[in-house]
Parts: sequence; structure tokens; C-alpha cells
Amino acid sequence: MINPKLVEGQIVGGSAMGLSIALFEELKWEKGYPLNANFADYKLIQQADLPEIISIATETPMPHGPYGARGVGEAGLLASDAIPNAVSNAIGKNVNKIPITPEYILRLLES
Amino acid sequence: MALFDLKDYIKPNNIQETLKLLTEFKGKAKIIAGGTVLHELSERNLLEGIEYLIDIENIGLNYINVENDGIHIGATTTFNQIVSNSLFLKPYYYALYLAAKGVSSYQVRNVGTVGGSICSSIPFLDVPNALVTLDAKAKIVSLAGERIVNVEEIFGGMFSPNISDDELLTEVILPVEEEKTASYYVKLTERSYDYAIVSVGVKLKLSSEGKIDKIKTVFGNFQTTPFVEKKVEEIAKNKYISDELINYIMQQIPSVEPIDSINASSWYKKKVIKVLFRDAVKGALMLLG
Repeated sequence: MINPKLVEGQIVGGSAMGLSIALFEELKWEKGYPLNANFADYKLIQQADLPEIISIATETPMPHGPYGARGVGEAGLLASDAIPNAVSNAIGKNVNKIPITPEYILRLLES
Repeated sequence: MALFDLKDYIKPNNIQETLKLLTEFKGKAKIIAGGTVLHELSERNLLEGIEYLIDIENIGLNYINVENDGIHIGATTTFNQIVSNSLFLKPYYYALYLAAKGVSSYQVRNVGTVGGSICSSIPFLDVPNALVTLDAKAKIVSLAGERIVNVEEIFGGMFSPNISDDELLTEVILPVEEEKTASYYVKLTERSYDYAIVSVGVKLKLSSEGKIDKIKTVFGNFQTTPFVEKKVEEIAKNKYISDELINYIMQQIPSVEPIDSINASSWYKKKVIKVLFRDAVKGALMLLG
């Protein structure tokens, strides 16, 4: 790692964004107009909803990167894929949409 | 959009002065206290033609007084003043404590006021729903005199309370505490700090033999105004409380179709309201010991 603190920050920040996408964020539309073009109705994850995120870097050099370096910015975003898989595994139904709201889970369970 | 027409920001020092200003600028003035709804009003173009903002912070409406006819809460009393007052930890008033505490965030609780939350006439705000649960009354004054109404009668549509432009809501009056009575408030939110998807306020009074004497149930964000579910009392009156009874009521409510809102469908609200109702009743029972 070139800068371990920065790597940790990137992974924690990316995971938070991934969790937010998986659980809350959705633009809603009606006749081409956004219904929730403000941060009261467009839900972003909040500090209080975030779990503790522990980052572990597995260093694999990238041959074409400068000095073998690899970007880490997007890695944490994978949280947005892990959550649908976890929910699907827990309830035994295919999760085909994000955000996974309580209402969506209830609809899946009753389908 | 924003306050384009604004000519002046006036800070009167007493109620009489405020009422004179409201009459003089009738229709062109808005009252401001905490100011937390102002932005929302301007976003919805509801401030068009408003030329004066009248700040009522200094007119002496910031108080919580215990009197013979109940607790008087001044209109500009903030949510945090309610949360930090031990009066509202009593079982009878506990719903108000929970509702005020559930308003997010701390910063909003420091400035948001009791009067403002009622006059906004928004169905998902917690404090007005709790006040309706507690059968609170409101005192509304104007130069022509004063009137006392039930808080639930004030609600019109979104942002349109049944209060005329030259009137001022000065205080809320909570009834005197009753024996063997407890109230509880539960809200469902998406995130930790959020407005309610739906909420339930319950005030439960038991008779001396332990039967249900009165039960008032209020659903927030269920209709465009706080909705009082009368069916609960019809079913439960004079019965002993039991899990079977609660389950039976859960099957029978709600008696109306809830409104769709941006964060939840009518279908979902109808399902979760039953669970919230159960939790609210259990909460009230816990307070009764």
C-alpha cells in the first residue's frame, strides 16, 4: 500500500456508499418528473445506520499500473452486491431490485 | 421560489403587538418561530405574496406551566424543552415525551416548536399526533377574542391549518392527569433520524377492576390529517386486556385505506400499522405496571 490510511478511508467510504445504494437510495419518478429531488425524500444512509466497517487490504500488484499500483476507490462499493445476496440467502427468494426496503422484503415474502 | 417579496422581518415584544401586525398585514405576513418549515414552504411556492415575517420568539410564549385545568405549554416551547422536563415522564403524558424525543435531529429539537408543528398541519409530524392522542386543546387568539379548540380540529390539508391569517396559536393545554392511565407513541422510520412512515399513539385507561375503560388510538401519516381509529375503542371497551384481544383488534384495523406516500405504499402501511398498534398498547401496559 502506498498510503494505508487513504486505502482504509477509500474502503470504508466506498462501503458506506454501497450500503446506502443497497438499502436506501432511489430516485422516484412521475410522468418524467422526479418526485424526490431533495435530501429529505431521497434517502442517503446516515452515520447512525452504519455498522463498524473493518478494512483488510489484500495486496495484489497490477502489472500495468505505475510501479504495480492499483486503484482502490471502487472496491468498497461491492457492499451493494453483497447485501442483495445476503437477503436472498436469508429469505430464499430472488432479490432483483435495489434498494431493498422493508416493504420490498415483505412483498417478496408474500409473493 | 425563495422569499422574493420579503420586505421586512419583524420581532414584536408581546402578543397584542403581534396580533395588530397580523391584522394590519393580513394575508401578507407569516408567523415564524423555529423556522424549520420555512424552506419547505418556499420550495412549494406557498410563500408567494408574503412580504413580512413576524418572529414570535420574544412574545413570552416559551413556558410549561402546571395549572388547575392541566399543563399549559406555550407555542414557542421547543421539543427539547419537552424532552428535558420530567413532567412528561409521567405515564399519562409519556406519548408526548416519546414523540418529542423521536423528532430528529437534536438541532431541530432545539429550535422546532410545539405551536409551529401544529400550525404546519403536516400528517407525519410526531408531536401533533401525540397531542391529539392526549386530547390536547389549543388556545387561538385574535384581536376579536380568543377561542379554544381541540388540537385535532386544527388540521386541514398539508400546510393549511384551520387558523385564519389574523389569528395566533398561543398555547396548548393538556388535560389533567387521570388515574390508571398511560400513553405511548411508536413510529416507524426508514433510517435512524427520519420522518415517520406511519406512527401510532395510544392512550389507555383501565378501570379499577382492570378492564379497558378508554382507549384512544391515533395513526400518523395515515390520512392527510391525524386519524383517530374509533374501532379500537368500540371493540375493546369494558374488556380485559389479553393477547387474544390485541390479536383480534389487529385483524380488524385499520377501518380506512391509508394514503400512499413517497416512502411507503398504502399496502405496506396497512400491514405495519397493526404491528405498531400492538407495540404501542404493550408500551402503555408496561407503564401501567
